Amino acid sequence: MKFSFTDEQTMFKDGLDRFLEKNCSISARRQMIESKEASSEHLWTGLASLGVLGVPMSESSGGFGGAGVEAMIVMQQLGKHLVLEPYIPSVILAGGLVDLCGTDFQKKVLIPELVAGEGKLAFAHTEQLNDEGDTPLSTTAIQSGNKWVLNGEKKLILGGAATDRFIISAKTQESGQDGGVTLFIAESLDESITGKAYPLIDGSRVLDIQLNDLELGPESVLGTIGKGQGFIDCVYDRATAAVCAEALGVMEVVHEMTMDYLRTRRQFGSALSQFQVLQHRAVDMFINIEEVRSLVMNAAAKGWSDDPKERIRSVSAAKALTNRASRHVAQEAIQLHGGMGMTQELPLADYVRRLLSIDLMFGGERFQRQRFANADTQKVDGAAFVSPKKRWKQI
Amino acid sequence: MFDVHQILYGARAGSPLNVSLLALIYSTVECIQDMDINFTKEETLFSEEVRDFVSHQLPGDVSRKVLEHKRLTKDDVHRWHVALYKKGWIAPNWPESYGGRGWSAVQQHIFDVESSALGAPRLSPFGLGMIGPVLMAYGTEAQKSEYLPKILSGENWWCQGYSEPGSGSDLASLNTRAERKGDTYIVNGQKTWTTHAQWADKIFCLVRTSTGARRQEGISMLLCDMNTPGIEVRPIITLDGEHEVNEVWLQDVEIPVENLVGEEDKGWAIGKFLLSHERTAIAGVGVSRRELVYLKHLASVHQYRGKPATDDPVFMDRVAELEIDLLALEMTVLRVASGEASGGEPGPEASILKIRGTEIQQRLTELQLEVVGQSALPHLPMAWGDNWMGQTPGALHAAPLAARYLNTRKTSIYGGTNEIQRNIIAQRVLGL
Repeated sequence: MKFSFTDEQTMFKDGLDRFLEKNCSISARRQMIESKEASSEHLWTGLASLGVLGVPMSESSGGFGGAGVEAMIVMQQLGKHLVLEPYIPSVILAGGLVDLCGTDFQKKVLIPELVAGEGKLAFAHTEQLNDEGDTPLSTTAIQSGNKWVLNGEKKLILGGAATDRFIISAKTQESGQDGGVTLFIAESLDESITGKAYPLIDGSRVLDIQLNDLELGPESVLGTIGKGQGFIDCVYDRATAAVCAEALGVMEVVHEMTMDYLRTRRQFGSALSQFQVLQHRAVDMFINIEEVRSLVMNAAAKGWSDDPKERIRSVSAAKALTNRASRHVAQEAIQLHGGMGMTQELPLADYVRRLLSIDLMFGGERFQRQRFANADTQKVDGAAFVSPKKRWKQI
Repeated sequence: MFDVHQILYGARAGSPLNVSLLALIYSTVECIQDMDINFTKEETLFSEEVRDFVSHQLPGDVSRKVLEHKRLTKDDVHRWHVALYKKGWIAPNWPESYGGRGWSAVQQHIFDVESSALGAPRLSPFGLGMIGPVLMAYGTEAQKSEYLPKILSGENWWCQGYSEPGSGSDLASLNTRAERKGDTYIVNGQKTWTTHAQWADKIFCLVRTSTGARRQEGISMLLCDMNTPGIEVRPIITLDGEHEVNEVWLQDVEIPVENLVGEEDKGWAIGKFLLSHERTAIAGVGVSRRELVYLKHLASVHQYRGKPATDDPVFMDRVAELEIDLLALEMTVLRVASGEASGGEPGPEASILKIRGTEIQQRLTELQLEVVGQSALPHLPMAWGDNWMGQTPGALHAAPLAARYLNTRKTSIYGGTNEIQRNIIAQRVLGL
């Protein structure tokens, strides 16, 4: 086993860190949130020029052929610098879907554009905020002649406010029968799509949309008709692993801020860091973060697997622990900062709010623990994206 | 205004109920069961009296805001204050000679639980619970007759000038200076974390009047009008985006000598006397019981993955764990409070109430957040302000829960951090 990065990966990580150090700041982030822009073209194209946007795309699609570990490296840095850019929705979720099941033509159009920072994607999938994507979709796609007509509502589209195109999931019917889930590509400018953007607790902006007789041609179908669900599960697991890595980056900063505060703040004639009870609290935060690091690595290695059981166990374990640990780390950071920890003024506030957001998205602790437990006993349908193997006849 | 019986009747008739009304009914039913077990006949009658009064006199819009976790204005709290004042219940724990009722500890507890359950807002503690008792113990006759009636009537809203940027847990290191010139103190310095200073008419301040051998010596308590020239209030926005606390800057503020409380340089003991009063009230049992009812209500109505959280034994186990801890807190409050009634000052045991009370308040917001999950992600602060008629992307009841979770983190920091409370118990109770 090996838990270290290759030289190439380390160089990539350091380069990204330097770029973000130079181009990100809490004040700029706050301005973006205030101006409702929640993303910066400058930052996005900068990430593109570093090759970051193509990292997890297969080389055949025009990416750099990375996978979970490379995504982890990226996300940890984006977390460290609290980047608002829609990396997960655009690259991991929607980009991942195009990479996994697009036609050569679709990949040729969409991936190089995405990788170059010239075309953002977002995945319009969620319909209800009170499930984990396990209620059958209500959005329908009905075939009418050569066209598909989509109707329905999609909610909480991450990165939706800044996207150029949507990947939309819809229920397709074949001769009145349930024909499964199909993915479609649609332009965000299409007039049949109306919507409202709003902020999340971390300041990022998401979108709710309505599809009003959205007409799409056959070239807009992404992947095989009715076979989308397996791919959706797959990219959601990748995104969940990615968001855990982001949380790790956020938590490391939060811990460092807390350590700095303990070292500088003086009460009762000495630095807070001299009080043993506070030292132990800082240690417990540290232990939490190291545990998360271990499971983030595990999910980075196995979360992109073709084997759904392995994927689910590694990803759900990472998210369940990340949720618990990030809550603990955030609460302790606030507490050890005293009154200052309650202010919006300190950058800590932005980091804490991002951790809360991550806690609430991509499945809560309860859901992830149940999913982890059930992975052993439940049949998991991952057939759609398992690489075909020859089945030999048995004697 | 609304009437409990009418609501219960309405419920039986099968009319649609909103969240707050359901919470109200649940709490009512729960309390009746409790009283049969725990309370004497007189106390049972007393709770009925409280319920009857609150359900008729608590403004309905205020109650709804409280039960639905919306933002309260000064006027919302003031209207409830005035209703209690008119009834003569505004300061039930004050001695009758000062306009109080001399209620027993159990009566105060009953009032706390019953009024909170019906959505009564928390009254500002700075006058009624802090400077009021201080003036009764240490104030001059002139101070008592000037300030106490206005605390009772609600004419004066007080705020607390204790913490400073460099003096939080280590309050005795405070640096705001008061120099005496003739009949006036000239005060310079900065106070911080001043809750609702933007609403306050008066402030009580701990200031340094001399530098003695011990830091605790040389501290004095002064009373000051917030309109005095040289006072500037600057908002501090908390991490949930709300404005509750402030910095209060004092530059050459002239305070007449007659506004000194007790003796000059002897303010530390007074300041501590005040804080010990803060700790008993801070347990917040009534509010936590209401929020527990609300948690169970949310768990029963909020569908998550096709079923309510009440169907999830793992989750309900944690609710039960919390409820047991709350019951233990409640009984401890009654024990400490009855000791207080017979023997005067709350002892350092009150720190237990502060620690456990605030932990329970925080766990409640966490579990409420867990019930609704990602429905709490959208951050639309206007949705918990006045006059919101719009829709929220998730369920409306989920909208304020993330901000409330963040806001409630303050409880283990204010009023003496929970670390300081543990020090108090270690040193003064355990003798370590």
